[in-house]
Amino acid sequence: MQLHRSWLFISSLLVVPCFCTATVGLRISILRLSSIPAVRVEMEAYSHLSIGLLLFSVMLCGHLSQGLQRFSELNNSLILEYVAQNGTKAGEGTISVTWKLDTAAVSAADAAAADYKNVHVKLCFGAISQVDRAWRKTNDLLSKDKTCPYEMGAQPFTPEGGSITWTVTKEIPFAFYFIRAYVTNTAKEKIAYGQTSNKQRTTNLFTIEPITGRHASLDIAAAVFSAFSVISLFGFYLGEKRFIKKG
Amino acid sequence: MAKRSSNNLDTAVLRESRSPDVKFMKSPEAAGDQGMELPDQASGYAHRTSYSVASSENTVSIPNLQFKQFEQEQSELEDDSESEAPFSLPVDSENKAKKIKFFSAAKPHMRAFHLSWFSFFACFMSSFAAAPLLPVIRDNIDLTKQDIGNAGTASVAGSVLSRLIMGALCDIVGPRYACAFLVMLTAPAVFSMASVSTAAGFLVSRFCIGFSLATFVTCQYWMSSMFSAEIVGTVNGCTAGWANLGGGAALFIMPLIYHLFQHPLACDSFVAWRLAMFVPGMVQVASGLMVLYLGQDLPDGNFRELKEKGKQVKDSWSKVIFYAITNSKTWVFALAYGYSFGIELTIDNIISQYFYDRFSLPLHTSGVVASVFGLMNIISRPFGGFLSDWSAQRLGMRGRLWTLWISQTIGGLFCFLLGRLDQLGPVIVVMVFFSIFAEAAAGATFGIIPFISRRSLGVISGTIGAGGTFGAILTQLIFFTSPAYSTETGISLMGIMIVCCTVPIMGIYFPQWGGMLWPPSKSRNATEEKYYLSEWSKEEQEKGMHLASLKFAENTRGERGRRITPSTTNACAVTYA
Repeated sequence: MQLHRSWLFISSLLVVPCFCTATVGLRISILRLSSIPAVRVEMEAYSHLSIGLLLFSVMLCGHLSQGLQRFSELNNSLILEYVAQNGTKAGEGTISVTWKLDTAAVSAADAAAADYKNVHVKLCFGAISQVDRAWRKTNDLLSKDKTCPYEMGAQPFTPEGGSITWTVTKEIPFAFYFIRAYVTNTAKEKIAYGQTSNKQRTTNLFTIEPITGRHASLDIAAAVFSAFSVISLFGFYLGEKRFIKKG
Repeated sequence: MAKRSSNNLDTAVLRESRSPDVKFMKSPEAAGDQGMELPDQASGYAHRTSYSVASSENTVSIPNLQFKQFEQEQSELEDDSESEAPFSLPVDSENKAKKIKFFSAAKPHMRAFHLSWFSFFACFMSSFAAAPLLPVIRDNIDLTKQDIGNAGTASVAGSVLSRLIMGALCDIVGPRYACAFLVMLTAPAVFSMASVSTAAGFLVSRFCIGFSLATFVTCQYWMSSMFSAEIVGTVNGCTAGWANLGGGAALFIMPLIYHLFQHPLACDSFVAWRLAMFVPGMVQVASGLMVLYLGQDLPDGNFRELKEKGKQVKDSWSKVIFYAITNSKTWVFALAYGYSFGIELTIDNIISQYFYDRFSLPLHTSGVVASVFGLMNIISRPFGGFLSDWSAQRLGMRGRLWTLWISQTIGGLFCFLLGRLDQLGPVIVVMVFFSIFAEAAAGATFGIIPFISRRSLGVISGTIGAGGTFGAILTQLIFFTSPAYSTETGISLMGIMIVCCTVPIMGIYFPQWGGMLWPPSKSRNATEEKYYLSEWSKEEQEKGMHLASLKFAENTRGERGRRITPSTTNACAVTYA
């Protein structure tokens, strides 16, 4: 596949300079030209650079295994219902979701034949909260899609359906949300979905109230450290002035 | 050795040539010496130590002081040859070190070296500490892309003003206090990050932290006061380069600290990042305290003590600033530095998003690749300074100017190429080469700056440093804010602008050393002394305020390159090889 070939090419492009710098560094160490510290610093930097390049190429190779599935290819075969208050508090509030198979779209037999294995329920950003925030962008390629970052729960698939209740965790930011459930097969690929909002992700949104992350103890600690910094500076300055006048 | 009296009869300075070995503790050829060896300049020109007397307001007392000083020095020297020398590094007539030993912390030179680069490193880390934690911060405070971009610009904008002020402050209270004041007074801004809850608060906090980037000026000023002309380029390049690592180090270290608070210590993510911000703040305070306790302004002592003893010249603010502003070289180098260092800051801000958007790398990978650009500083900036010093030995100041122009222009060409490529592998390779040349150019610039002026060194360093960050702001505003340009077009246009803004360097001309395209003037008035004394008026010279400049002028004789013949130190009789 084209994508994989280009990644191989790129990784090899990185491994080659990496080995070059490593061998140059080794040669220099063998020749022992290290009377000039600048050269020695460069030698160490060569080895750091080559290690960095190696790690980077390894990381790139890891991305060889990205899928090429698209959201538009999935079947909308689940019906979702949810209960969530506007302004549900992170850390305390709960959201309950009930899902079941939409037999009008896909019959139970077809679902079994298509290998509907698990259902993953996710919390997703509404379109309003994606404006000016490229890190939440919707992309048709599922591997690059960032619409639904938070997993609420996973259950095995049954045609009768199921439900989950999820306590909102503390890393959820303030935003307008909807809920989407993906159906995955045995190979863990997404094959179907259902969501509580419309296709443009503009209807039926609810908000979550996040934690601030601020604590009184943090504020006090910040104030104490700041005061220490300023006072010790002026203390030293005035102290030295007096010391010199005396001396 | 021959005695020589100065041409200028007003100075009443006694000079005496002596053998170079008196003040050394170890000879350069000692086994296991880890110091950096430059080809010995002793054969290039006679090594002289001179005694001069700084002014006191009372001109009548000068002759008395002069003799006292002379006698003092005489007995000191007799002691020297029997017991320990005062400095552990070889020094020139101003007690500035002529060699550098990286693994020593000896007073005062190497100690100042390590204190200054570390305090600047701490400030760089604080300024860019928020950047790798942005994915968490933008969720906590609900930031938009504009908020993040504005905060990024603000983080470098604060330093424009503070660098200008810092130059003047260094000249007045000395680099030690200037550094300590800056570092300790911006630490509260770092701690305040733990309490921000709105986009506006985040922006103000980053703006105030950005003030601390003016430690650059104190660093360069301190190094120019501690190390002599032959080695100042390398030293300035090393300190600035290793300090610029702070930007790259922040991208590595801050996520590690954040994860430490998050997992073993089981804090919520929105709390963990706030705790993580305490670490750079505490490092900053610690470095400030170390500078106060362990540092020393000049090899001879601290500014205040020297002022009290009457050894340090009191100068007037307005004159210092006047001579800095009217010197055209200041502005040419401010522009050029804006397009070497300023470009580095711009790239630090935009390159991570460039890899994320154009090549679809995940966020942490983009961060790692982006940090490579900043981490190249460990070798490239010191290398630029070293190259500047190396070319100065052969070609003098002309060599330094050519080195700067060549490396910055090649950097600009690589930048142009960076925007044109669309394959990830070649882009990374080109980025690495671009970083090497751009950062080497920044290092080479500060090989030249100590020679522009002696009187206004602090203000000039500050102005040029401010020009650096101003270039960053300007470039970001022109090329990376408007929706008219895509990022890659912006990068290519930036490359063209780098080449154009480097052209004015061709116009730099020192009468005694020449310029890029013109050789030095053959007139009898083209001497180092005349150049540095032109900043002092007749009245000031009568008061003896210019004596430090005179000493400095002698030590810059090496900027003539290899043209100097050994025996003649009289400027009028210089013969050209």
